Formats: sequence, structure tokens, C-alpha cells
Amino acid sequence: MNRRTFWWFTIPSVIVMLALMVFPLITTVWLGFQKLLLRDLNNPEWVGWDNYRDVLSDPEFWAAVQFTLVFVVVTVPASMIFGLAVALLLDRIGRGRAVYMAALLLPFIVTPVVGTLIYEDLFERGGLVSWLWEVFTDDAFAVSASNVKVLIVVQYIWYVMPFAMITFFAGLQTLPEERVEAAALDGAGFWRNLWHVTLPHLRLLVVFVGLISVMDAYRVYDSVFVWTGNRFTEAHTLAVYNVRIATAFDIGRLGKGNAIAVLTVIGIFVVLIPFLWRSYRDQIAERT
Amino acid sequence: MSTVTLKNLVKDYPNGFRAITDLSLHLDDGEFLVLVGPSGCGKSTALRMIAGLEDITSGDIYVGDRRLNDVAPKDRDMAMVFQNYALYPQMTVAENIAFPLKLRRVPKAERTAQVRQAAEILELTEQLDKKPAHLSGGQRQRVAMGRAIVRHPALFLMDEPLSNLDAKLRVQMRADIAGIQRELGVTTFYVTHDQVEAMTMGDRVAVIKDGVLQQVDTPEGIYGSPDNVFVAAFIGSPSMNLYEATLERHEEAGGDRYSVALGDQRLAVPPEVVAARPALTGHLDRPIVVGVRPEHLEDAAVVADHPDDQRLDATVDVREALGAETLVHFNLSAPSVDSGDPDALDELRDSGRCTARFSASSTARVGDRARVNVDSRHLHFFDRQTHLAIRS
Amino acid sequence: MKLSRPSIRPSRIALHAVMILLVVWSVTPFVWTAQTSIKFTRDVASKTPVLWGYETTANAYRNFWLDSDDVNMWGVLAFLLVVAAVAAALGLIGRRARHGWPWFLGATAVICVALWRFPRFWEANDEYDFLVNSVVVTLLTMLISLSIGLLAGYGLARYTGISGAVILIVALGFRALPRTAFVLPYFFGAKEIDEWLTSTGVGSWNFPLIDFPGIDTLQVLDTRLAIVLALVAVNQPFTIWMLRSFFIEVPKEMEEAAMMDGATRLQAFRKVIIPIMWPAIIATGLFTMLLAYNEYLFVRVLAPTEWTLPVAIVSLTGGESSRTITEAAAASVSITLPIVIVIILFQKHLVRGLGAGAVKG
Ligand SMILES: Nc1ncnc2c1ncn2[C@@H]1O[C@H](COP(=O)(O)OP(=O)(O)O)[C@@H](O)[C@H]1O
Ligand SMILES: [Mg+2]
Repeated sequence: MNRRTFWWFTIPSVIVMLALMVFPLITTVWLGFQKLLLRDLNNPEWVGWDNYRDVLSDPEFWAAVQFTLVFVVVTVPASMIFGLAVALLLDRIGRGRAVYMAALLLPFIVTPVVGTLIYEDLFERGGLVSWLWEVFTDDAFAVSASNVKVLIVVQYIWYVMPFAMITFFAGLQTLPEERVEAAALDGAGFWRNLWHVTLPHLRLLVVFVGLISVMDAYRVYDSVFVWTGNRFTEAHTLAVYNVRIATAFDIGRLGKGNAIAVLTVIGIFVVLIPFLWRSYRDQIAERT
Repeated sequence: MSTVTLKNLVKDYPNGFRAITDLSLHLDDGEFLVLVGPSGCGKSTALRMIAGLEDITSGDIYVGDRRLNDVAPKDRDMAMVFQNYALYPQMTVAENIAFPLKLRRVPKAERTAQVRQAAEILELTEQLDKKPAHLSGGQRQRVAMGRAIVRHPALFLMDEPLSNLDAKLRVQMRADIAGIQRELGVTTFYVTHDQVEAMTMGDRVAVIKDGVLQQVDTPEGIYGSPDNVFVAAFIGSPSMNLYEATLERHEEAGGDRYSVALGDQRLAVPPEVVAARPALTGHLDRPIVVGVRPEHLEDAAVVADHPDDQRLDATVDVREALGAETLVHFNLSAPSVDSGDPDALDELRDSGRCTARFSASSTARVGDRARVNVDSRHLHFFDRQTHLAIRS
Repeated sequence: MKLSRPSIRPSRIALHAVMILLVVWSVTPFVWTAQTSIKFTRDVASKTPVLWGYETTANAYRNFWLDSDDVNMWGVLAFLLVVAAVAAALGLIGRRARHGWPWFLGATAVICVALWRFPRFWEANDEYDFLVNSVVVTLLTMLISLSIGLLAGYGLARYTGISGAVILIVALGFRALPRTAFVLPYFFGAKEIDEWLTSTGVGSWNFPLIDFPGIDTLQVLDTRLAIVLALVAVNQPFTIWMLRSFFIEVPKEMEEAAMMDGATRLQAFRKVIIPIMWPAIIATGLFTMLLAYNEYLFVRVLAPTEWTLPVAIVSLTGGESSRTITEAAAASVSITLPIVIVIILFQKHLVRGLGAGAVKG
């Protein structure tokens, strides 16, 4: 395909991305240097690095950074290992696989805010878990500042595990059977087989799922917002903290919110740049 | 008139690689021209430039008097058969064949009739309602042919259409395609890496190497008088034996005698052979390349009636009895010559290797010391530096 | 496949036992909520959960969706079942048919007509508008996103120049960006545009052709259009990467053959490539559907009143609202059911899409 045809095909998408991603991103950076309140949007005022100073000296920001990092570090490996284990089990199921799969997929396809709401219901007064807790410990269970972070993490793993599961499962379907059989003939047990045959085959998928999971966990909003609302602000992740600062009723500070957004973007790119660079090299190599 | 003329075609890929260098060719109306060369030498590139699927870096393409450089593929009135057939998987055989007609808005009734006719020629009538996935390799190949012939184009382009078939089917399809082409009389540009296809199918054969055209001639011409070492080695199977040798002149009373020194052996060259190539005398006592085809070597034990000074001695390394003939491999102590054919390199690196085509009655065994008759009238001579044939 | 002998061995039973435990872990919240949605408030409020033997009712659904207290819910259920059955049947046929799209279009049309006629049969609450918004936003996002994504994915799969690589990598970078990096400028930009429209008077022009009921001023903020545009944009990186990985699997000789046969590049794309791409289109469409249907943040910020269902449910079931627990549960079930049906119908495509998209991505 020559360059002209290529642009004819690609230009609508490129225009959308330029107008609605590149341009807004520039606006974000610009707004980060403005003093701008939600109730008075018409008078932005250039304040230089003030917003950044404000953010970096805000203990809530550092709390959000800390919880976000913990969140990523716990949920990503947990959901991947869990997902791989379930995928391996699914792969051994003959009859009934489609039914199991549909049931296991459910948390992932349901609207995240709704999924979180109904999960939370189990822990609220009168909920199943809350009741069981009472039966076994004689203590009333309540979602509180002390346990909400754990609940958020557990529910998020419940929500994303199917993504790792289904992707690894799809990868397992392309594993040549001869390789498994050859390993079995060599007397490889389950773990050796997993380590020397299955995992190497899934290598690219592990990188892919890991990357997507890190991106998604880092910017998590919906479920954390539903769990915490304005009750448990100490369990806010970066995205929730960011939106709260920017849109809080009457005192929304858009300028500061954009500064947080810029810092968030820088954060993910620190992790991502080496990977993007490698992908770029791969792309170039593919072309010559 | 569907003559095709390529003038000084050049193709540079965007990465800077020059795939075609200065290619000029002419096809007469109704001619079947085969472009042959080792894989990666630019055959597909050349074909795709003619088709309009690849931009032309410089040069011109004419069909008749019409310059086609900037004409879209769909308006070039050419039909192409791809190596992987590129059948449309979602359409039946009939729909596949009818697709070009549909795009030209041929009325439905006429379309059906033409598809039927094409299917009959190709013996596909039974398969018309099947999807390509349910066809055998040979049938798919014929559907691809059907899609090409149904339109009566000005030019057929075929890119290794037989290379995905097994050997037996290939022999049959070779004959079928050549037959259909002759029947329809459509000018055809056929690309292959298989020199047997080139020799058996083409009215003329064009040999290409590394994007550079080497020689264009009839199959007999290419085989009988190759222009250079590459063509000599590439055309013919088993390929020509090529050695570095020295031509010597022995002045004698009855007229000069000539011989070539092949390693430590000497082979007499009849004076008329040298006389037919006056330029040879310019190479006296200097290394040249001498070539001899396997069929011009014979077991002296079978044909005793042969001049004694046109014989070589060698120890048999390998013997392959093929029934009608016996291939015998042995080693001459002379250095063999790299023809530049990437596919043949390994074979030739084994220096001094020589292949002969003996009669089936030859009893030469591995390890025997054999006497080999050389038909010196069919020796080929090439310049050692330029690898060009010394013929005039 | 590997061990599918239907023998009953201890390991087999253990395997199924583990799977059932996993299913319990997955679906308990759903079962719990579904139960709650059909209970009477008194059973829900009881200190010890009533797990079975309770009296069931559709009151919660009626109260959430309908404006009237005396509606025969069997009629509503029958109506919904018929619509769902017809749509599902069309979808199933389309999945097997050679050209799927007329059938899928038909299924979509049946659902749209049903949605449109529903309030004429039964008086619907305001919540019904949010359902309509959800459907409109989802369908439009899928349509636009796939249309431009297919073109770009094809171009990126076939072009070998450097600019293609640059676009792909930049898009991959965008895939990583948080919504928060976009939502504030969207909001700010939309507001600026609206102010411009008002100040120039363009906003109150009367366009006879786009004079939809309910639209009397031209604006961006608080419209479904704003949501759709935002979703299309953030979905582009994923869409072009996934579709490109599918297009790469199609040999380029396919469209070249079509071009030799007399097609333009665009004709070859439409008549030869797109029909081969149906599984890919469905897979990518499913992910786009999930994204649009489930979106919360963009809608909350960009559409203060034109909510879609996720925002409606969070807002209506939060602390201050007067909705009861059973109504919240009914709302949750209602929003979940359609997506579950679609995913069950197209589960294979989803799995295959992730497999194919992922290996190359
Ligand atoms: N798009 C391309 N970009 C760069 N080089 C190419 C491209 N296509 C083919 N080539 C190179 O051009 C040469 C000729 O290719 P091709 O015409 O396909 O060879 P053939 O058909 O004779 O096997 C090969 O060395 C190949 O690597
Ligand atoms: Mg080729």
C-alpha cells in the first residue's frame, strides 16, 4: 500500500486521536498551570508551578500515590496467577466448559460500578457475608476505614481475574499438543511441564496481560469510587483523588486537578517508556 | 494487439533495497514468456510491477502502445494467478470465478454461462457450489485459473502457480496450463523458480538473477548456448559441471592442437571447436571457465569408440541408478566455479565435484576408477573474470 | 479437549468440585442481588437472611421502571421475553449466516423498536430515558468506533512505512493514559464550545433537519454526542490495535486478487476483506460495547443530566436517594441482563478475539 492510500484509510482515526487525545492532553498541561475553579470557569489565571507545589505538599496526594502503588503491586500479580490457574483448570474440563466459562466471565463483563455495588451489598448490614461473619464471630461486620482497602483489593481481583483467565485460556488453545505429549513422554511432572512448556508458550501473553493489567489497575476509578465515595477518602487511588479535587461540589479546583492528572500521566510513562521503546523497535524491525 | 514492452524498469523498495535493475523485455502477442530465477531474485517484484501492485521507481511499461505506469491495477486488463491462489474464502467456486465479471457489471445470465464454460475447460463443473476450503490443492489451483480466464484479459500474469502442488500434479498442470494458454492465445508472463517449468512451458525463457536480467532466448537457445556461467549452471538438471581450467595450444606440423588442463589431467579440444570461437585464442595459457553438461559425459566401458585424448579418469563417489540412466558423481582435481546460484551453493562448494549421466548399462561402482568419455564438441567456455560466454 | 474422556474418576470429580467453588466465588453477588430484587422488603430487612421459601414479587422492577402501581408485570415480562427471543433468534441466525450483518441489524432494529414502543404500552419512569441513552450511546459508539477503526486498522496492517509504526506506538501510549487526563479538558473544551455557540447565537439556530424532539438548543456538554465522542476517542487505540492484528492474518494477496479482478482498493476492502473479517468485527464490537455500556466517569462529568444507566444506578441507589434496597437490586439486575445475554451468545468470539488480539498486541 502506498503512502497516499495509507493516509486515506487512516486519517479519520488519526483526526479523532489528534482532536480528542493529543489536543486535550496539551490542554491538560496548560490547565495545570492555571488557577481555575469549577464555579468560576471563565477566569483562568496563570500561576506557574503553584498547582504542582500545592499537590506535592498535599498529604492526601501522597496517600493516594501510596495506595495506588500497593493496589497495583497486589492486584496485578494476584489476578494473573489466579487467572492462569483457572485457565489451566478450564483447559482440562471437557463437558460443561462453556457453562463454567460463562459463569466465571460474569464479574468481568458486568458494569464495574454495578459489580462493585452488588459485591459491596454482601458486606453491608443484612448482607450474606456480614451475616456469616456474625454467625461465626458474634461480632457485627461493617465496612470501615480499617478494612475497606482490603475489600477494594479483593473485589478488584474478583473483577479482573476473568480477563487474565480468558486470555491465558485462549493462549492455551494454541499450545501444540505434541509439545505437551513430548514433555509427558520425557516424564515431566505438572510443575516441570508448566515451567518448561506452558509458560514459555504463553510468554508474550503474560507480558500483554501484565501490561494491560498494570495500566488498568493504575488508573482504577469506578470500583474504588463506589466503595469509598466521600466516606473513606484515605482509601482513594490517584484517579479518585484527582476527580474529587477537580469536581468537588462548589470548591472544585480544576487547575490543581489537571496538575494531578499530569503527574499521574508522568507516573505511568516512567513505567511504560522502556516498553513503548521496545515495541517501537519491534515495529521498525517488522518493516525492513 | 497485446504485446508487452518493459523499458528499463527499476524497483527500489522503501528500505532502499534495489530489487529490479534495468529490466527490459518484449513479449509478442500470444507469447508465453517464462521469467525464471532463484528465489528472492525479484521475479515477483517484476510481475507485480506489471500488474500495478507495486510502484515503479523508474522505467516504462507498455501494453501495445498504451503506457501503463500510472494506470490502476483494475484498469490494466490483466488477470493474475497467485502462488497461494488468493481465492475468496467466503464465496463459492462459481462466485469466485464470476467475481471479475460481476465487478464489470456483466449481466447475470451471461455471467453464469461464462462461468460454466470456464468450469468446463478446467473440469470444475462438479465443484461449482463448494467453498474453496473444501477443495483439494489442484482444484484450488484450477479455480484461480478460472478466475483468470473467464475475463479474456489482454495478459495473464502467473506467479509460481504450481509451486504449492505435489510433484505429480505439477507435471499434469504444467501441460494443462500450457494447453489452455495456447488455446486462448493470451499473452502470458509466467514466473517460476523451477527451471523445468521454464524449459517445458515457455515459448521463450528469461533468466534473472539478483534483479538483473541474464539472458532471454528460446528454451533450446538458453540450454544450448548460455550467455554466462550463471545461466549455464541454473538451467539444466543436474546442472552443468564448471571448472577453472587453462586452454593450451600445442603447435604441430599438421595444424595446431588444443587441450584444456583440468587439474592434473588434459583434455583434447577439437580444432573446429576453437575455430568456431576465435576469441578463445586470446585466452591461451590463462585460466578460463570450462563447462560440460552431464549428458556429454559417458562411461568409456559402454562406448569404447571415442578418441583417447578426450577422456578423463576419476574415482566414482556416488552412483544413482534412475532406471533409464545412471547418474554418477565423481571428483576432478580441478577447482569448480561458483555460478552465483544461491540454491546450488552447497552442492558446488564441494570443490571439483562432477556429475555425469551414464547409460543405464554402465557398471561403474562406487570406488571404481572409471574412464569417462568427454564429448569435447559440446564444451562451453567462459571468461574467468566476467563469467561471460566466449563464443565469437 | 486434551482429557475429555467422559470417565468418572476421582480426579475428575475433584476438578469439577474446584470449578464449582470458583463459580460460587464468581456468581454469589449476582445470585444474592437477583434474589433481593424479587423479595419483599420485609424479607430483605430481616436480620437473618431468608435464603429460600420466600414469597417473590416484581414490585421492585415495577417501581424502578414504571410510573404506575397497578401494572400486570406478567404482561411486561412476556413482552420482554418475546423481544429478547426474537432478537436472540435473529442474532443466532446471523452468527451462522454467510453475511451476518443484515441479521444483526435486524436484531438491533427489533430491540430499538421495542424500546421505542415500550413507553406507549406502559407508562415509564424517568429512569427509562437513561436506558434509552445507554442504548443510543452504546450503538453509536460501536458504529463510529468500528467504522473508523476498521479503515485505520486495515491501513496500519498493510502500510510498511515508518509513520504507521509511529501511529501505533503513540496509540499504545494513549491506551495507558487515565481517564482523568482527558475528562477535565473535555469538560472544559465542551463548555468553551457551548459558550461560543451561545454567544454567536449558533446554538439557538433552528435546524429543521436535526430538529429532534427535546433538542431546542445546539450544545455539546450534557449531550449523548459528547459521551459518544469521548468514548470513541479513548477506544481508538484498542480498536486499531486489535483490528490490525486481525487484518495482518489476512494475506494481502486477497485484496490484490480483487484489484486485479477489477476492483478499486475500497471495493476490494468492502467486498473481499470485510466479509472475511466478521469474527474480528464481532469480537472488537463486543469489547467496544462493554466499554460504552459500562462507562461511568465520562458520563458523570460530561453529562450532568443526560445520564446512562451506570450513573443512574449509582446516583439513584446512593445514600440520599429514596430508592429501596430491592429497587436498587432490580436496577442492577436490569442493567446486567442484556449484557449477559449478548456475551453468552458471542462468548466464542470474545475468547478468540482476546487470543488473536493479544498474541500480536
Ligand atoms: N516490501 C519489500 N520491502 C523490501 N524488500 C522487499 C520487499 N518485498 C520483497 N523484497 C525483497 O526483494 C527481493 C525480491 O523479492 P521477490 O520479488 O519476492 O523475489 P522472488 O519472487 O524472485 O522470490 C527479495 O530479496 C526480497 O527480500
Ligand atoms: Mg516470488
